[in-house]
Amino acid sequence: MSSTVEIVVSALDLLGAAGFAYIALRLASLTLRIGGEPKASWAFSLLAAAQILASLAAISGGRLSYTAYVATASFSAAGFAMLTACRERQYALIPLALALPLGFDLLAAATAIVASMGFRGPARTLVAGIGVTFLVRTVGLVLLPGPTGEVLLAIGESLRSMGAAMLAVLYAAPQGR
Amino acid sequence: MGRQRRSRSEIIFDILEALSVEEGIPPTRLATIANLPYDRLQPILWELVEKGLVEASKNGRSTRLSLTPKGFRLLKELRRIKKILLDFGLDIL
Amino acid sequence: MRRTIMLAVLLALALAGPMAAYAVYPSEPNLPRLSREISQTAGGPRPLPSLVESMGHAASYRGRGFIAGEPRPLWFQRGVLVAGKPVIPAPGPWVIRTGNSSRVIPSRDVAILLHRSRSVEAWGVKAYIYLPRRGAVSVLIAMKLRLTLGSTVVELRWLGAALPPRR
Repeated sequence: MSSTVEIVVSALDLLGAAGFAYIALRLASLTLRIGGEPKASWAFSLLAAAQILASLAAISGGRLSYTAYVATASFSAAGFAMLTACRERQYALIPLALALPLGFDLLAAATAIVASMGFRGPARTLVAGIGVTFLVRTVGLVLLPGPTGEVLLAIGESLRSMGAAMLAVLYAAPQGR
Repeated sequence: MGRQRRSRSEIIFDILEALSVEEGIPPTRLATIANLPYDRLQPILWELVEKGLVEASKNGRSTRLSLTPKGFRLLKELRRIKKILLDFGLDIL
Repeated sequence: MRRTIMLAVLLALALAGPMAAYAVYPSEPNLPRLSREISQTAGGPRPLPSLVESMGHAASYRGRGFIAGEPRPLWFQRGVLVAGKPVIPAPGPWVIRTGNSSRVIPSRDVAILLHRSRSVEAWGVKAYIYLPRRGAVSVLIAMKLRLTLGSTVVELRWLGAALPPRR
C-alpha cells in the first residue's frame, strides 16, 4: 500500500515540477527578450527542483532518499524566500534566519507562510497550505513516535504534493489563470 | 508612500500597451501615454524597433509608431505573465 | 551586487540541506572492528558489545546496533526526552552529567569514555520508528548511560539515528 502512495506522491511531485519549470522557462524567455531581473525565474526553478527531489525521495531508498527528502525542504525554502526577496521585502527574511537552526522543514514552513502573506488568489491559499504541510512533516517526524507519526507524515506529504501540483498546474496552464 | 519606480520591463509593458490601443502615434504622444520623459523613452523605444517589436514609419517629418505582430505576441505573453506574477505579489519581472 | 549576494545566499541555503543530510546519514557500524578495538583496551571491561547487543534487542534489530566508535546523531533530529518522547530543540548529541552540572560533549569523547569505564549501565533504551520511506533513516534510538569511571559516576543521554531495517 505504501508503495502505491509513494508512486502517486512521486507522480504528483513530477507534475508540479513540470509546471514550475514551465513557468520558470516562460519567465526566463521573457527576461531574455526584454531584459529585467531573472529572480522570479530562479525562484520557480528552485521550486521545480524541490519537486523533482521530492519525487526522488519518494521512490528511492537509503542515503539518496534521505538526502532528497531534506533537499525538498531546503530548495522550497530557498524558492519561497526568493519570491519574498523579489518584492523588495528582504527584511521579511530576517526572522526566517532564526528558523534555520530548528531544521529545514520548519524553515520551509516559515518561509512559505511568510511568502504567502504577500500573495493573492489561489497562490496565497496553496502556498500557505504547503507551509502547513512542512509543519506536519516536523510534527510527524519528530514529535510523534510510532505509527501515528508515520501516518501523519504520509498524509502531510500527500497534501504537500497535491498542493504543489495544483499551484503549478493552475499557473502554468496556457491561459495563465 | 508613493509608488515605487517602474522597472524596465514594466515600462516596456506600458509602451506596448499604449501602442496596442493607438496605432500610428508619434513618439511624443507615446511618451505622454506611457508617462515617461521623452529622453528616457527614446533608447528603450529604438531597442524595441531594433528587435522588431515596434515599427517606426516616417511620414514626412514625423515618425509614426505601431506594434508589429511580434510585438503583439510579446504583449500577449506579458499580459499572461503579469497575471501570474501579480498573484505571487510581484510586479512584472 | 546586492541581488547577486542574495541569490548566492539562497542557493547556498538550498544546497546546504542535501549536503548536510548526506553527511549525517548514518553509515553501518563495523561491529567486528569495534569489538576488536575494545578488546585491545587494556585492563578495562568490555562493555560495548553487550551494549550494542542490548540496543539491538531494544530496536528489534539484533546484531545491527548503532553505536560505533563514532555515533552520528542526526543534527536536526536530536533532542531530549520528555515523558518518553523526543522534543526539539536539542541540547546536543550527548549531554554529560556529573553531579549537578551537565554539558554537551562530542561523540568521539563518549566513545573514549566508554572504553575507559569500569562499568557501563544502559537504561531507558527506546526506539522510535520515524520515516516511512524505504531506506531512509527509520529508527531513532534514545538511551541513557551510566558510566563508572574510577569513583565517578557519569550519566549520559543520547538520541541518535539507527540503521534502517533490512527488507
